[in-house]
Amino acid sequence: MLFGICIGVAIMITVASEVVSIHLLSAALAIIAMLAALVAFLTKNYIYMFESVVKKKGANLVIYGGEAFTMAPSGNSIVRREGQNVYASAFIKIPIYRSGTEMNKEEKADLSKLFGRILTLGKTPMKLSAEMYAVNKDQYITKLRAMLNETEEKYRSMQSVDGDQHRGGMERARGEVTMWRNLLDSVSKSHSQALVLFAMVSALGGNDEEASNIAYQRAEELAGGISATLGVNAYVAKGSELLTLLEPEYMIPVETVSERIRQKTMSGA
Amino acid sequence: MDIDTVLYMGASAAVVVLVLASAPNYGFMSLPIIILGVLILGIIFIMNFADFLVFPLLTKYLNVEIMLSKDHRVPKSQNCVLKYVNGLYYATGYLTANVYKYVFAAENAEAEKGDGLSEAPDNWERIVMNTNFPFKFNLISSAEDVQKYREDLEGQRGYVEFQLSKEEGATTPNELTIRELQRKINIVQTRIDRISDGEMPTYSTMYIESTSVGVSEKEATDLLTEQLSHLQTVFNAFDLSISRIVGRELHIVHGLNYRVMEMEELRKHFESQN
Repeated sequence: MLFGICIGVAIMITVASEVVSIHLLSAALAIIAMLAALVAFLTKNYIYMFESVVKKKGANLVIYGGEAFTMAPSGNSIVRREGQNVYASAFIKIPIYRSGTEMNKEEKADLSKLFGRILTLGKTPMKLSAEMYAVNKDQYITKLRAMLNETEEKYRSMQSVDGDQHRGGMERARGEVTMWRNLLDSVSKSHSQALVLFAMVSALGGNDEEASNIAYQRAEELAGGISATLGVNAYVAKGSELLTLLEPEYMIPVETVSERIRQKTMSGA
Repeated sequence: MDIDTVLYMGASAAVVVLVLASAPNYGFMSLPIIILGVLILGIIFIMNFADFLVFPLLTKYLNVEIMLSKDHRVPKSQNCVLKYVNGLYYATGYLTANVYKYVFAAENAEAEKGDGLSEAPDNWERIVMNTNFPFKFNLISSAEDVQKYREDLEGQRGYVEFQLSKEEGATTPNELTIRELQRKINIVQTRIDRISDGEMPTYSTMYIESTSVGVSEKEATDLLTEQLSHLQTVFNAFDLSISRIVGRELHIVHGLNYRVMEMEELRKHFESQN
């Protein structure tokens, strides 16, 4: 729309510049026409930057102010709004536990061919992804930290009373503190990672429910095809399982990484 | 180039060319107008073909950060998507992964195909073993219409065969041209044979994604750059042409996390990949 207006204006001014007989005026019109043509071209990709240029420098341009996605009420897909359109996407987890190390050359080639076949299962575009993510040790770390705090508190309270009376108990509490601290250190130090293979399909719908139902139906069909091709039990992911495939804080869980960062900082200091 | 681009670039450039054509009519202002016109034409071409360079420059100069959604922010360097959660910065970056070996392999399909397929599982496992940070390898695909694809290929072969017969019938046939046309026929024929063998033509687009975490934005983005360089190295085993995605393409690829585009949109955005 804006492109059409700009180009229209540019053409009209160009024509006007041809008609006007005063050199200076026609040159000015020609310059305006060329600038209008440039603006017309910029509307293709840079239209949302005009606001920043016109208003002030250093603005935050908000392309979309809402959440990146919302979970469908059924919990088996996500819903995303783009302008007037509502899209839903469903995810299929493919649990495959085969390794190339235990196969001969033909078997390896066959496995690759099977994956090739998956890609042609449907005419609707699908995304096949392999994700390596940090294993979520948040709960375990929180539990270890609670135990460590508890034993440290116990040890401190024993120190504050008469030392001779509780010597045996104190030794034991100190041992416990060391044990929990060592355990916490070793758990958060190691990089535990897991690999998951999944497919994703999307659908456009009139509303959240319609889009979600179509996406789920497509996902079910695709899961059936993948299961039959690879000989695995592919299934449509639901609920919190989806978040590991989507959000960075689930790909690298907060507590797990915080503890690692804390240790790194302490060892650096 | 898609139709939109042709339309935008063609119409804008046409107006400038029109003005330049009548430059002699502007008297003493002719020279400045010619210089300005050439400059504008240059800007249009650069912005069209090197948008990935121009866009980050603009955002840096204007100090503009882009919010893709409530929690996802693209810094002015336009090379990653940032998310701030519980005092930690998560930076996600993307790499393109274009297969550029295919055309050459197609000339001698049998010899290359067997090796490539049997090496793929080992190559993949080596990549996973040598990477100790989170990443995603994404492949978007869709089956093409076999009949239409075959007809297109046959049409291509017919056209090249016509060119070949024309060249061979010429009074002074060029040996190099003949060899080049025969090579093209071989490639198309190999593709037709593969479809006859039961292979399905597929539209596909690949990209790689990695996420890093840090207590500051700089730490997260620096770590992400390290991770992406590592991925660039390890994925070389697959003979892929890999480069970091910056600028507006980053916004498009980030959107693919939440929605797989329809075929037409994919073709428009990833024309050069397929």
